[in-house]
Amino acid sequence: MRAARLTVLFMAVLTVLLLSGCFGSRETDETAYVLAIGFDKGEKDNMVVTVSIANTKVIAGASGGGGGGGAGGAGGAKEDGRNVLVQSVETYGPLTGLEQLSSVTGRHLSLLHTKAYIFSEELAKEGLADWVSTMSRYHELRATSYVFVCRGKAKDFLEKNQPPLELSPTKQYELIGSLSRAHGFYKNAMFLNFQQDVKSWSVEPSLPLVAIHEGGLETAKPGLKKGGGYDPGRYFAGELPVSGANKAQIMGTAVFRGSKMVGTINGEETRYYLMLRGEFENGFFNFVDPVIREPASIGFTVHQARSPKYVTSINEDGTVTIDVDIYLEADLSAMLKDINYENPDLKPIIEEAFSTHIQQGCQKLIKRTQEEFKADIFNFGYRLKHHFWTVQAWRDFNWLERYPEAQVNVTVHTRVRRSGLMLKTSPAKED
Amino acid sequence: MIREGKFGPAEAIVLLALSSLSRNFLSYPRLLVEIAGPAAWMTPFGGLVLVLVGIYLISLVLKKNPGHTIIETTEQAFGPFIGTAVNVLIVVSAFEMLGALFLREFSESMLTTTLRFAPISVIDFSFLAMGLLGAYLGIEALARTARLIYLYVLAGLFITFFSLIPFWNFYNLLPLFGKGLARDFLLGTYATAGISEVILAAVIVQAMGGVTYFTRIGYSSMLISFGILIMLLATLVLTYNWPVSEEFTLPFLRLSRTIYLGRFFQRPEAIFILIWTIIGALKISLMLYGAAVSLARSLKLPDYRPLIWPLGLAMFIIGLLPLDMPTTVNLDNIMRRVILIPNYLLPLLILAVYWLKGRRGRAGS
Repeated sequence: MRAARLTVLFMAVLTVLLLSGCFGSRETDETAYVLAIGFDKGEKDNMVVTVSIANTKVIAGASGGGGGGGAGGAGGAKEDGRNVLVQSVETYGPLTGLEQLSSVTGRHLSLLHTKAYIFSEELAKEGLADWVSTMSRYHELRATSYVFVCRGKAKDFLEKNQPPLELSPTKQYELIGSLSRAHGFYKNAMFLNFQQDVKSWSVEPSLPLVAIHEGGLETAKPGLKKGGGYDPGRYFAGELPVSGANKAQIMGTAVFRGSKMVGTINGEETRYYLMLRGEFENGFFNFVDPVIREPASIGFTVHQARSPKYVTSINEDGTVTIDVDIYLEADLSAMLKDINYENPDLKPIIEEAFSTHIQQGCQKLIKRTQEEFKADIFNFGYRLKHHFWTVQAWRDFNWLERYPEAQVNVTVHTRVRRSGLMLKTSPAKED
Repeated sequence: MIREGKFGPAEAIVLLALSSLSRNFLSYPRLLVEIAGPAAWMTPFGGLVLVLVGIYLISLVLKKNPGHTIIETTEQAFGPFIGTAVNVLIVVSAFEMLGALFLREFSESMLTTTLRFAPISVIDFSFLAMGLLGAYLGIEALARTARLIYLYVLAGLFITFFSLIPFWNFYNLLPLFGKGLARDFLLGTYATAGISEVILAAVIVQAMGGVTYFTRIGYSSMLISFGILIMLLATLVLTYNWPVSEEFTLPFLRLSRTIYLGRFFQRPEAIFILIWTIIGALKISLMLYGAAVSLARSLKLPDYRPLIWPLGLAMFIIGLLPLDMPTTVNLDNIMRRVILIPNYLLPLLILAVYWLKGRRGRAGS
C-alpha cells in the first residue's frame, strides 16, 4: 500500500514536471509577429524581404489611452512611436530572410498573424510561382492572408503605409477586403485564390495593386469639363490625387499569365472586370447625360442585381462564343442638370445610356485582355468546363491558349429602382 | 475465455465509424484527389459498395459458427495449423502494421504542424501510452468513450465543412468525371475499400452483441464513415481546386486553417487538433486491442492483456522504422491494399471451404 502511494506521488510529480512545457515552445514575448511582408527584387541577391512587425509596446500603450501610433516616418518604432517596426534584408528567399531578420530583432519572427503578402511589380513580372510554392509549404502560412502587387517597391510601401485611423495595423488589411465591396476599385485576393489561379487551367490570376502616392493633388487627370474622363476609377494605385495623412493607395488590378504579371488595369476597368465575374457589389458611377449631350454627367449608385448569365458554345472549328448578360440595379444619386429623370417615361433613356456605357467598357476591357494580356481573368474558362467530361479532354482543349480568339458578347441590363430622397426634379429658375 | 465486456449497437456503430474516420485527418484525402481530380468525391462510392459486400460476406461466415468470432471460424474452416497461421500472419499482422503506421503518421502530423521541435519518439510514445491505456481498459471502455465524444467530433467536422461555404467554387467540381470514370470508380474503389474496421468488427462481434446485429452495425457505421469522407472530399475540392488539393500533406488541417468568417471567427484549428488527437488515440487503441485479442484467441489464451505490452512495444518500433513521412504514407497506402485480404479474400476462402466441406459431407452421406 505504501509502495502504491509512493508510486502515485512520484507519477504526480513527474506529470507536473512533464506538463510544464513542450519542446520548442515559444512564449509570446519571445516572438515578433510579422503583420505584413514585402518582396522586392534584390540588387545583389535574389530579393529584398521587408517585414512589418507589430510593435506591441506601442499598441498596448495606445489602447490603454496612452497615445501611440500615427505620425512619424519610416524606421524604428521607438523614436516615432509607430505601431509597427519595419525592417528589410537582401537575401535569397522569404524564409532565409526571416531567419536573418530574426537575428536582428532578437525574437523569432512568426508569420502566424501575417495579413498581407506584398510583391513588387518588378518581381511579379519575373513570376511568383516559386515563392508561392515556398510560402505554401511553410507551416505558419495562413492562406486567408491578402496578396498585393506593389507599383514601385514593396519596401517603400510598408515603410510609408500608416493607416491613421487604425490602432492595430492588421485591421487595415482586413478592412481592405470589405471595402472592396463598397466601390469595386480593386478585387481583394487571398493567398488561396492566387495559389489556385496560378495552377488552374481555367483562369489566369489577378491581384490588387497597391502603391505609395508621392505628392498631392497634382496627379489629377482632366475631368469631364476639361475634355477628360469622368469615372472616379480612372486611376491606378499611386496616381489617385489625394492629399492627407496616409500615402498608401489601393486601386486597380495586376493581370497575370501563369505566374508572371503581364499588365495592369485601372480602377474603372477593375469594376468591369468584377461585373463580368459576377463579383461587383456596389459602386458610384458617372456617365454622360444622354439628353444634354454636353459636359454634364449623371451619377448612379450601382449594384449587381444577380449573377451574370453566361451562355457558352464551342463551334465546329473549335472557336468559342460566350454571351454574357449582366444585370445591374441603380439608384439615381446625382444629376447636374434639372431634368426629371424620375419620370417613368424618361427613366428608360438613362437606363439605356448607362447600359451602353458599361457594355462598351466591358467589351473594351475584354479586347484588351485578349489582345494585350492574352489572359482570361474573367473565369470564362469555368463556364466552359461543363462541355467536357474529363480533365484530359479539358486540358487538350487548352482554353487559355484559345481565349484570345474567343468571341465574347456582353449585354448589360440596367434598371433604375430608386431615386434617393427626391421623387421629382423641378427646374431651377434662370439666373 | 476472454472477457471483453458488452456494449450496445449504438456504441458499436459510433466506435467503428469514428475509427474509420481517423484516416480523414491524415494525408489520405490527398491520395483520392490525386486519383480522381475534381471527381475525388466519387471515389468512395465504389469502396462503400465493396465494404457493404464485405460486411455481408463476413456475416455469412460468422453465421456458420455462431457465438464465435472470425478468429475461431477461420481456425475451424482451415484447421488448427493453417487457421492459426492465417490468423497470426494476416489478421494480427494487419492490425499491428496498421496501428504502427497510424502511430507514425499521427506523430509526424503533430511534428509538421504544432510540436515542431519535439523528438518523434516522445510524441510516438505519448500516442502509444494513450493506446496502451485504451487497449488495457478494453473494448467496452473504448466503445463508451466513442459514444461520449462522437457528438463533439461530428460537430467539429460539420462546423469545418459549413464554415468554408464562402470559399466554395462549384466549378471546381468540373469536369464532372474528373480523371476518367475508370480512375474514379476502379482505382477509387481500390483505394477506399481497404479499411480495417470490417475485420475489426468481425473480431469484436461478440462484444457487439453477436452476429444478429453484425450487418446492421456494419452497414450503419460504414454509411456514416463513407458519407463523411464524401463530404470531406467535396468540401476539399470545392474550397481548393484539385491541382492545389493534391499537394496538401494534411488536407483537413488546411481546410480548418482556411476558415475565416469575418474578423471574429477564424483560426479554429486548435479545436481540430484536439479532435484529431482523440481520434488518433482511439484508432491506435483499437488497432492494439484488435491485434492483442486476435492473437490471444488464436493462441487460446485466457486473457489478452499481457499481450498488449509486447505488441505495443512492437508497434512503437515498427512505427519508427520508416525513414521519413513520405515513406510512411506510401507504406500506409500499401497496407490499404493488404487489408483487402482479411476483409474480402479471407471470408470468401472460408465460405469456399465450408461449401467444399458441405459438398464432401453430402457426397459421403
